[in-house]
This record gives sequence, C-alpha cells and structure tokens, in this order.
Amino acid sequence: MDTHLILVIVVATALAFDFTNGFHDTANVVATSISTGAIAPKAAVAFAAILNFVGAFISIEVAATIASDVVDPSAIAGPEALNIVFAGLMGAIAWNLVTWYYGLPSSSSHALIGGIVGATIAAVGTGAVEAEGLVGKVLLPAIIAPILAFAVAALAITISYRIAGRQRPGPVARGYRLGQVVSGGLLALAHGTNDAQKTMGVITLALIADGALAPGSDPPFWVIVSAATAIALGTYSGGWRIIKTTGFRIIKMDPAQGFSAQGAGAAVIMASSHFGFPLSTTHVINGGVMGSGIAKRLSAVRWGVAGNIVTAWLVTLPAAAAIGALVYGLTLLFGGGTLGPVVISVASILALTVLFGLNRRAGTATATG
Amino acid sequence: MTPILAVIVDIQELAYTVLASIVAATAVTIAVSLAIRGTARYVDHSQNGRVALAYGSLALAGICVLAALAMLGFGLYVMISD
Repeated sequence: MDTHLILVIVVATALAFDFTNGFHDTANVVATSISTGAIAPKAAVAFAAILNFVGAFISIEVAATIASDVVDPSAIAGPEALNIVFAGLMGAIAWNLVTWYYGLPSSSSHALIGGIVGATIAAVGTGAVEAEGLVGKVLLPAIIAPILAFAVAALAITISYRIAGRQRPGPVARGYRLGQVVSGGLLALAHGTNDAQKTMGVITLALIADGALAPGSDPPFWVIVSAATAIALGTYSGGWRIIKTTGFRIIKMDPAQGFSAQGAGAAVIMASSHFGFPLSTTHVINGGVMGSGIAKRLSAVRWGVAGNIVTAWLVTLPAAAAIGALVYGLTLLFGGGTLGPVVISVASILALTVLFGLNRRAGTATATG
Repeated sequence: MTPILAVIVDIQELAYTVLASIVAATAVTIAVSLAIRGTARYVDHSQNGRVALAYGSLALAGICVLAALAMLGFGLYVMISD
C-alpha cells in the first residue's frame, strides 16, 4: 500500500515536471517567431503545443535510458528508489520554476539530471555517479551545443544577407517569416520527441521499481499519452518571461535572423539526435540567437543578458542537485517512507499556490497602479 | 595513446553532428534565400515589364521552394525513422 502511494506521487510529480518542462521550454520553439511577428503569440504557443503532443508519439527509443548514463541504476534499486526519483524530480521542478521566475532559459534536461544525481549522492554517495557519463553526455555537450549553434547560425545569417539582403524588404520579410513558421514546427516536433521521453522514462522506471512492470519494458500507452498531454499543456501555458528573454532581450531580431537562428537550431538538433550526440534544445536555440546577432555586428548582442543566461546554464546542474539532495534529506526526516513525499508534495502545492497568487496580485497592482 | 577527451566523447559522432549541422543549415538557408530572392526579383521584373526575366525568377523561386520542401521531408523522415 505504502509503495503504491509513493508510486502515485512519483507519477504525479513526473507529470508536473513534464508540465514545467513544456512551460519552461516554450520559448525555445516560439520566441523568435513571436519576436519577428512571424506568428501571433497565442497561435504560436497553440501550434507548438499541438506539435509537442504529436512529437511525443514519434519515438520511445530513449525513454528508458534517462539518467542511466549518469547514475548507476543498480545502486539506486530497492525500496529507496522511488524516494530518490521523487527527490530528483522535485529538484528539477524547483530549479525550472526559479529560472522561469527570473526569465532565464536554462536546460530542463540538465535540471532533471542534476536533481537525480543530487538525490542519488544524498542516498548512496558519490560512488553511484558515473563521472564519465556525466562529463561525456552532459557537461561537454553543454559546452559544444551553444558554440556549434552559434557558428551555424552566424554562417546561415551571413548567407541569407548575401543572397536576399538587397532585395525589396516586403517579400524578403514575408519569406523569412514563413520559413520561421516551418522551422519552428520542426523544432516543436523534435522537442516533443526528445523531452516527453524523459518523463516517460522516469515513470517507466518507477513502475519497474514498484514491480508493476517487468524490467526492460517499454512505456505503457497510458504513460505515453499522459506525458504527451502534460508537455503539450505546459507548452500551451507559455513561459512568457523566458519568451521575452530569448525573443527580445538577447538581440533585436529581424525575420532573416529569426529564420537563421531557428533553421540552424533545427539542423543542429536533428543532426545531433540522428548521430546519437544529445544536445539541449535550450542551449542550441539561445546559441543560435546570439550567432545570428553577432553576424550583424558585435554590439548587436546584449552581452549582459547573454552572460546571465550562460551563468544559469553553469549553475543548473549543481543547483538542481543541491535541491534534489535537500529534498531527499527531508524525506529521511519523515522516516524515509511514504510520509515524507506526501508532506513535501502537499507543502509544495500550498507554497506554489501562495506564490502564484502573490505574483498575480503584484501583476494586477502594477497594471492598475 | 588515446586522448582522454576521445574516450569520454565519441569524436566520430561529434564530427558527424558538426558536419551534418553545417551542411543541412547551409543547404536549407541557400534554398530558402534563393526562393525569397527569386520572388522579390519576380515582383521587380513584373513591374518593369520584363516578362522573361520575371518568369525566370519565378521558376528559380519555385525550384528552390521544392528543394527546401524536399530537405524538410528528409528531415522529418530522419526524425521518424530514428
């Protein structure tokens, strides 16, 4: 009975993470299109939400491998496994909300990996962490992704300006805006495929740990549908604070730059997925935006904003790990059983309700004041 | 002796990713930009009464749109087949 209750809480927390993932990463897909007026904001998030939902059904190849490259799955097996996964998810959700509040486009995948690593270290020590996997699959790609997208977007915008830069502005702007809608659609599909699978993987691992599924099973259909729905609803909710940062605050973007950033982003994400070298959508898109700005002139990029974003990327893994470890420690305070996750979940829901209420009241006061 | 970086990162996967990203982004950008240029030139030539040049530009735009759509289809195929 106890483990079943924890399982229900872990599944609900995983879906809550999936929602924040969609909510947080909406900007990756729609920010540049909204910024250049390629598509209206509400239509953009609806379009992205639908394609995120569809994307989640495209593949389940990597659904069962999340976090297994960075922590030793056998070391976190047993009755403690669900508490570790719960603590890791809470770390990721908390960091996603903090970075959303400050409008910082950080990687949801890194937050999830950080949370799980932190909770694992708190539970069984550093021996369960696969240092080689952490460096090879997380840290180095985090450095490579923005640099590659930056270079590819800079090349793309240079080509765009050379070929179409001296033509009539009207047809040129309309053409690149149309290109942005298409490349944004591809990004949304890729995002749904990659990111919804992480939640499917976490829920599947929890079901296996609970004995509800045999080891090595694929995600059940209800898991695929619920993960797809959660990420689509999160995307539709729209993380407007991050959309403003990516779309408006890094550079002042024209349609050719928007197309170059998104086209380069789509090319890099799809190439990396195909060749099995996973890169963060967030890092790729923001690197692409900076690259499409710098090709115009160095001062076109607001380096202060770019610096804040890069700092957030550096801090994401340790911060989510620290929160994951703290939450795991809190579950131990309640005896390490079901009570801890129940109390922490209820307290988190209450805290979030109060914070969102205060945020809305502050917004209303600003609007009327 | 194998460098430590080559052990941690699959250099071949990384090289393919970099190369494919550059080739795909460059090809799509050239196709879309030429399509846009062709469309803009079609408008200009039409207004100046240069019918042959106008239709030539339109044909270039059409071919480039088809090429861009083919690349998009290939991208979708790669995504789904993975």
